[in-house]
Amino acid sequence: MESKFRQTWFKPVFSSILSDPAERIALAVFGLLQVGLHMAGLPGWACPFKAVFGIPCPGCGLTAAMDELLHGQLLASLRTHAFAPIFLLAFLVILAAALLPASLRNKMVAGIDRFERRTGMTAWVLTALILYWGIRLFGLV
Amino acid sequence: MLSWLGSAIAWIAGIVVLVKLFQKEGILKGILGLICMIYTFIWGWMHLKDESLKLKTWMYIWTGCIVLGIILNVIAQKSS
Repeated sequence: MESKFRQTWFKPVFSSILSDPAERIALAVFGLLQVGLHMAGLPGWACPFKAVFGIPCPGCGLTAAMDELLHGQLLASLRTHAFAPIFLLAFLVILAAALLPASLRNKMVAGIDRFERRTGMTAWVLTALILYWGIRLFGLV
Repeated sequence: MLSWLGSAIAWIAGIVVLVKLFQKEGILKGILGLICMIYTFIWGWMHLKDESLKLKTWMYIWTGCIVLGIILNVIAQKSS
C-alpha cells in the first residue's frame, strides 16, 4: 500500500512530458498561443468548467496571472493566481526543452527526472494547487 | 444559448477524454489534465490512433465545439 503510494507520489510526470517530442512541442506552441492571444487582448482557450458552470477550475486565471508576471506586476499576478511563477517557470522549461539541442535537453530532462523522483515535487505542487483552488472557491483568499 | 450549448458539449467530451487520461496515465497526469485542459486536449490528439482508448469521436466533437466557440467569440466581439 505504502509502496504504491510512494510510486505514485514520486513518479516523474514533468520529465516524462519533456522527454516526449510531440508533447513538449505541442505544449510549447499551445502555451505561446494562449499567452500571446491574452497579451494581444484576444480570446484564447476558454475554460470549459467556467463556461458551463460558472465555477473556475484549479487552473483558471493562470494565463492572466502569467501575462501580469511577464509585465513585471508580481503582486497583481500573485493576487490573480498564486501559482503563476511556478507555471511560468514550467512553461519556460518546456520552451527550453523544445528549442535546445538533444544533448543539452537530455541532460536537463535527466536532472528534472532525478529531482522529481527524489522530492515528488510535481505531486506536491499539484496537491497544493488543488488545496489553493478549494480555498479560493470558499473565498478564503 | 448556442455558445453555452457548444461549451456544454465540449465539457462532456473533455471529461470523457480526461477520464481516459486518468485511466491510462495515472492520477498525477490526470490532475495535470484537470488543471490544464489544454494538456488533456493535446494528449487526446496524440493518442487518437490508440484503438483501445476510442478517442476519435470525442476528440472530433471537442475540437468542433472549440472551433465553434472561437467563431462565436469573434462574432460576439465584432457585434459589440
